[in-house]
Amino acid sequence: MVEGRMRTGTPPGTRSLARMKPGEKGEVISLEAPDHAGYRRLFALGLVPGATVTLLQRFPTYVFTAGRTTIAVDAGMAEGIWVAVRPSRNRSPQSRA
Amino acid sequence: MGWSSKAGEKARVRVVIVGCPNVGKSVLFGRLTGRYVSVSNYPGTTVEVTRGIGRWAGRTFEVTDTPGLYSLSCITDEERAARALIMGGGSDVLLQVADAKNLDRMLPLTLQLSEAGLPVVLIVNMLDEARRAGLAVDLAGLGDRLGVPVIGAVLTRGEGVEEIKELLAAVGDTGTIQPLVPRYDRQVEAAIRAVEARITGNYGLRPRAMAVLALQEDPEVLDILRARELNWPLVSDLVVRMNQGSEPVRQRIPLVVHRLARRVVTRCLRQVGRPALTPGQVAGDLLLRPMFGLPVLVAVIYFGLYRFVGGFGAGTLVDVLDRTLFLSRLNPWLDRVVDGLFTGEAWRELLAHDYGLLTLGLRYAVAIVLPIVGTFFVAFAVLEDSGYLPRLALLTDRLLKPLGLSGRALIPLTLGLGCGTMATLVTRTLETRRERLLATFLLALGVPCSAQLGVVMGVLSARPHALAVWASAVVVALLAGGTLAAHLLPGRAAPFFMEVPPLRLPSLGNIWRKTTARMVWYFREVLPVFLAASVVIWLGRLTGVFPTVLSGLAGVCRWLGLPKETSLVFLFGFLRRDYGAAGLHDLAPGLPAQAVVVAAVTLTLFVPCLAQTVLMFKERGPVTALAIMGVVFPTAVAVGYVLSRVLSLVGGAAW
Repeated sequence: MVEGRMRTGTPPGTRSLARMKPGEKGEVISLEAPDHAGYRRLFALGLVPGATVTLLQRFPTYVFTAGRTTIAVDAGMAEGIWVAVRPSRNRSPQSRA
Repeated sequence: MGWSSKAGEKARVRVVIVGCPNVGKSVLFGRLTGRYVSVSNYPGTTVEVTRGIGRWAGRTFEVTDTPGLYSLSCITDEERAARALIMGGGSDVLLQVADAKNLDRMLPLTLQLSEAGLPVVLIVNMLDEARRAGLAVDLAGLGDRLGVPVIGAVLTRGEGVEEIKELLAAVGDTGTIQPLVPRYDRQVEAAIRAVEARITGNYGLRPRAMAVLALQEDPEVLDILRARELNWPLVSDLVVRMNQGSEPVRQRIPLVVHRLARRVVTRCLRQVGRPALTPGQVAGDLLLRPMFGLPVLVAVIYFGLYRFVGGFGAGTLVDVLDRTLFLSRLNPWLDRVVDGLFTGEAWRELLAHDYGLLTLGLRYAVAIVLPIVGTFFVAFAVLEDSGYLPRLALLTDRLLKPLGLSGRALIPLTLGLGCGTMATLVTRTLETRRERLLATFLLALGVPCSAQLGVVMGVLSARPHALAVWASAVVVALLAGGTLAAHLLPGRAAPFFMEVPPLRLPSLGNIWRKTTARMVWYFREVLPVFLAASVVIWLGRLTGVFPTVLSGLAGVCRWLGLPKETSLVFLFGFLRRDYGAAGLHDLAPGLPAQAVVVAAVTLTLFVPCLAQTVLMFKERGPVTALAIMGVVFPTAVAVGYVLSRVLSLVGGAAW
């Protein structure tokens, strides 16, 4: 069972964390986890809808910050984290991967 | 509920420390009790809860340290143990330790504890790190808003400890405070009231908190209510109904709690300065990148585990203790004493001589495994306290995925190169039962321990291509066996997600406390295993089982194209690693290279030693242990057989 669903009225520029580039930043729109336990743990780590995330690197695992917490997830988890990515014209993303 | 404590002036005050992992719970425990009583913060093993006694202000405090708990809605075994401890009642005060920088993640637990009617004190720890991050915490404001006592602290430096002690000494004197609790929307509140009204039993938490957990489909809470509440069908119906649709209540409740926590935090935590970039942060970030991280990882494994634990611990220290102390002094003396005390041969053999309880069991635990374990505990405490472990896990996660393991499994597997018994014990640090099983299997199958490596190197190093054949055969068997096991075993690899804490300089005091506490714990866990192994050998010799086993093994050896004396090497290698080593050493010169390689490969893949086997039974249970042995034994023989056929076909010319 997949926990969490995309909401209606998703803002433009919404992508899963797995499709973000290092340095990109955005707000968490919704979470899908493989199970309720994974969902709750992400929640407990501060990854709640509305939290600001910045992707740091994609390889060998996805590493990102949510608030002041750094979190590492595998590709499977990253695909379920939906983020409204901010356009990053004024700031060049610092490439890491 | 406030502070209505039943504890009189003379009675012990029962204090329970709770909080997320990596916030300093074990440091606070150490500060309050002065000494460690048993293990703490050992991931997977803190399930054995740590208790200690502290005395100040004329009162006695019974302090309990609990495993990491993110939320009252539990996921892991550790969390369930911690919650069970809280629900079990019997605490006069809960000290929740929190990381000041991440208060927004810590306060949901505070709110839940208040909701459950528990007397909680919030310790806002790591104020120094918060300051460096440019953050100012309004502790008084936090206390006012939460309605619980709040104390700021830098526990590693002892700051705040006196204030905590004073507050604990005054438990029972404080007036009633009205703590902040979450309020949900009208529909959810109605559901909570409906469930609450049907809860009649006392479960250590307020009925409202039980109702909130039940509505979030908490499996344990539902089990409790199912077993004990007459109105269970009504509760069950409501829980199911509230969790249907696109916004189930199990998602709405935590969201409300987090929003409330965040609202409190935005008022009480302010960014006052620019975050200072500390060397620890820079290094911590660099270590996440494969380009820097992987070389450091190799260095950590090589120096920290291989050289320090494998070389210094398993080599130098074992030599000193085993050869100088036991073999040349203690054992001969014990033999004489036992011979003088007992006349029966059976008693003499049980206590002393080649396989005795004292001369083998005790000696193994003290002289051979203790130095390895001790040096490992030092290395592991440094890795743990520095925040390096999650970095190691995230770098290696991808490599170990095909074997059904997460990055964390690199530690027990590397450790297996030192001592398989110890490594089997350390598989406890893995998060899922499935992963623990797979790692135990790989350790039993093919990770050669330092004793096996020593023999193999000694016998094969003169013949480089024989060594290459051995290494490739073992690696192929390990990878194939691991991949196959991961596919065949039901269930799937747990999704990987992990908090990456900042890199910190470990404190020597904490490393010392952890190491000594774990050594005590090790002795309680492992000494009986070695003693049991001695008794098994004694029984085997007494009952004459060994000759039967030997003749069976001789048949296997013939089949592998090995002389029948090799069966002795197999049996004694299993029972006493130094005997097995010496045995192969003595046999090797008279054997063709092909036979030596086949013997070495089979010996490596064979179940490693009696102590590891006993520990496998203890850790994984008899059914699983027997299943593992049932797979490992035929695999070892089959690989040996295939190898001997292949080498025969290729012909002796290559040697």
